Amino acid sequence: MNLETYLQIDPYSLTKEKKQEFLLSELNYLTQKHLTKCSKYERILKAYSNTDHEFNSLETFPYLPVRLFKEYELKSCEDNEVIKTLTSSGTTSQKVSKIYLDKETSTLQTKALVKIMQNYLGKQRLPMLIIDTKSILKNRKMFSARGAGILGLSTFGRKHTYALNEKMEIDFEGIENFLNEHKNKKIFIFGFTFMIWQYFHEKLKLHNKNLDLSNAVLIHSGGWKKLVEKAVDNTTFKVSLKEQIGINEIHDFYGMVEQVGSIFVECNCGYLHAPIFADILIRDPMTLKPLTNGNEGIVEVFSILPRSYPGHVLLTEDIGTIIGEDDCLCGKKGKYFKIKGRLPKAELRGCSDTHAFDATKDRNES
Amino acid sequence: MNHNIVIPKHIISIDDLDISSNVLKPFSSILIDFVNDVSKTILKDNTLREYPELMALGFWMRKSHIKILHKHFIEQGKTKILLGRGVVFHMAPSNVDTIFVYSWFISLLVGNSNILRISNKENMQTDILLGIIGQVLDLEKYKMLQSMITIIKYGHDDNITEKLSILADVRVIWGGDNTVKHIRSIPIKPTATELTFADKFSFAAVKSKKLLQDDYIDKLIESFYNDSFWFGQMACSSIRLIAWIGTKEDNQKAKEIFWSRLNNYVLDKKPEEIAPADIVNKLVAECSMAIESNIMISKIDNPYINRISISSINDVQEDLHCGTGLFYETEINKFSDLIPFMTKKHQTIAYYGYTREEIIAIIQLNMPIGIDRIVPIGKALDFSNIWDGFDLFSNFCREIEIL
Repeated sequence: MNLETYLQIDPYSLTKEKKQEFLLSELNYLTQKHLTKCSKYERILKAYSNTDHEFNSLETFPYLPVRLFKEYELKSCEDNEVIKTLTSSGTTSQKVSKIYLDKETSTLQTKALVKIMQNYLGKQRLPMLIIDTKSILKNRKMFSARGAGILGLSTFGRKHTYALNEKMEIDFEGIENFLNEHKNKKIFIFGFTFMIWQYFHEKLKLHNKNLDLSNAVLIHSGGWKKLVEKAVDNTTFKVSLKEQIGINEIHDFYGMVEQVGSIFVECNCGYLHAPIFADILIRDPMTLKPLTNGNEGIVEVFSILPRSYPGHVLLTEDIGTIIGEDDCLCGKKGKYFKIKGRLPKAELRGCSDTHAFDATKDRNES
Repeated sequence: MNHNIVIPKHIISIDDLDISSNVLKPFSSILIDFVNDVSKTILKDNTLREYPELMALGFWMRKSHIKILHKHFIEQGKTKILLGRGVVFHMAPSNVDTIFVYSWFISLLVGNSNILRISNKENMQTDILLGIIGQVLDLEKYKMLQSMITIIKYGHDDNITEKLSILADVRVIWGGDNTVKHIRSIPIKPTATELTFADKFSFAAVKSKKLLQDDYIDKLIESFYNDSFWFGQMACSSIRLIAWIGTKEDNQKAKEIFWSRLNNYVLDKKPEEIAPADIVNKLVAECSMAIESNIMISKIDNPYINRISISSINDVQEDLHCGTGLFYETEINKFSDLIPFMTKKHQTIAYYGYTREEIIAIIQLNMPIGIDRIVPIGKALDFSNIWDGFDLFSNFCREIEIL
C-alpha cells in the first residue's frame, strides 16, 4: 500500500495489525528522512546513540519533547520550500512553537483532516456557524492559533456565519437569520471549548434565551484548562449545551499545532480516537517507560504527516490514559483514550504540586 | 501595587512602613538570642525533618555556631570600629534556593535593619521559615527588633522595588543575569552600595585513583548527594558537573563504582521534589544541549539521575542546565586542567582526593580569573561569611576611621 491509497481508507477502519504495519514503515521512513535532512534532529539522535535504521515497535522510536519546537527552529526542508509557518498560541511573554510546512506536508494535513471530518460531518459541506468573532481573522497578533483553527475547519462548511460580534457579544439577529435560512437542515458548529462556554453558553443563560440547534453537530477544541477552573468537565459541558440549545452531537478533539491534520476526535462514547494516520502511547511520568492500557501517564503522539519537520514522534506534556484498542463500543477501530490535563508546572513544588495534579484528576473522573 | 507584607503583620501598605535606620551593636545579645530562638524552633519541630535544607539552616543558626562567626568578626575588626550600614534591602531569588536567608541573617547579626523581598511563588520551606520568624518576633523580649525586620512578598513590580530601594543603604540582588541587569536600572541612594549574586555554576573535581583506593565511599556518596540534590540542584553552589581526574583506566573504573553506588543511594532516597515536569525539563535540556554542543547521553535506569558526557569541558552549556539531577561529566588528566574553566561564571569547586595544600599551590601558581570557593565534597552548600568572593561582614558594615 502506498501513502496515496492509505489516505483514501476510512481513517477508523483498520485493526491493529494492518495499521501498525503501514504506520511503522512510514515512521521509519520519516525518522531516516529527518535524520538526513535536519541536522539538529541528527545531533539529538546521535547524542542518545539512537540512530537505528529500523524500529519495530512504536515504543522504540526516538521522541522529541514537544517543547523543543518552542526553543529551536526544526526543519527538514529547504527554506524556499516552506509555504506556510504555523505558530502555537501563547501570550507575548511566552515562546511559541514554529512549525514549517512544505507543500507535501500541508497537502497531507488537509487530506487527513478531510477524511477524519467526513466521519462526523458527511461528505457534503454544511452550513457553518462559528462561535467566535470574525475580527479574529483580521487581528494578526491573535491570529495564530484561533484564527488558523477557524480557517482550517472552515473548509468543511459553507455560508459561514460568526455567532459573536467584534465586542464578543452574541449576534442574535445574525444567528436567527442563519437558522431560518437552514431550517431542518444539518448544520456544523465550530468553536473553541472555552469560547463556547464563556461567550455563548453563559451569555445565552444570562439573557435567558434558548436556541434550537438540535440539527447541529458541534466540533470543539482548545483544551479544558480554563474550564477546569470553573469546575466544568466534558459531561457538564455536553449536558448543559443539550439543555440549552438541544444539541445532541458534540465532539471534542485533541490535537496540536505540531501535528496538524492527524487530530484525535471524540466518539459518541466520549473517547478520543486515533485515526490511521496517527497513534498514541502512554509513558510513565517518572521513568518514561511505556505503560499498558488503563494506566495514566504522559502522552506520546505519532503522526505520519510531518515531512518538512521532525514532528512525527513527540512526547507531549499532557496526561492521559488509553482505554483500549479496536473495541470501542462506537465501532471505530484504533486506540481510544482520555486526556486528563497538563503536567503540573515544575515551579510548584511540595504540597501545592500534588494538589494541582489531584484537582485535574478528580474533575475528569467524575 | 499587589503586595503582601508578611512581617510586620499589622501593616497593610508599604507606604505605612516605618523602618528604623538606627543600628544595633554588631552581635549584641538580643540579636544572637533571636537567631538562636529561631534555630531552636526549627530543630525542635520533628515535622520539619523532611526539609534537610531547613534543618541545615537551623544548625547553622545555633548559638555555638553564631559564637564562632562572632569570633571571626572580632578578629577581623580588632583595631577597627565596625557598625552596620543601616538598612539592607535583600531581593531574594524566585527559585527554590534558600541560600539568601544566610546572608540576610548575617546582615541582621551585624546590626542592620533588613527588608526582604520574596516572590509570590509558593515555596514550602520559605513559608515555614517565615512563619517561625514571625512567631519568634512576636515574643515580648524581641519587641525592639520589630522595626528592624520587614518581609514583603510581591511579583515583578518595579514601583515597589523603587520605593524600597530608595530606603536602602545596601541593596543585595540574588537572581539570574537578566534580573540583576534589570534591577540595577532602578536607582538606589547615592550613598548606598550594592551586592549582586548572579547565576553561577559549580562543579566537582574527583581524583579517580583516590576513589579506587577508598574502601569506604559511603561518606563520599552521601556528601555528594547532599551537595547536588539539595535545593533541587538549583543553588549556585550545587554540583552540576563532575570532572574525573586521572588516567583513562582509573577514570573508567571510578565512574563505574561511583555511579552504581550513587544510583542505589538516590533510588533509596527518592528525592520527592523531583516531579514529572522535571523529567520532561531534563529531556528538553538534554536535547537542547545536544543541539548546542557535542555530548553523549548515558542510558540510565533511574529517573532522578541524567548523565551527559562531554569530551571537552568547553562543551558545557551552563545556561541550559535545569537542575533536578542532571550531571555533566568529563575526564581530565590533572587538576590544573580545570584552570581555564575557572571563570567569573563559576563559583564552587567541590573536591575529593586532594589536600588543601595541594590546591592552594595550584591556585597560587595558576591564578585563575574566576572561581569563588574550593571546598571538599560535602561542603559545597555550607554558607560562610565569604560568599561569591564577597566578605559579607565588611560589605554589611561601615568602618569609622578615628585617628
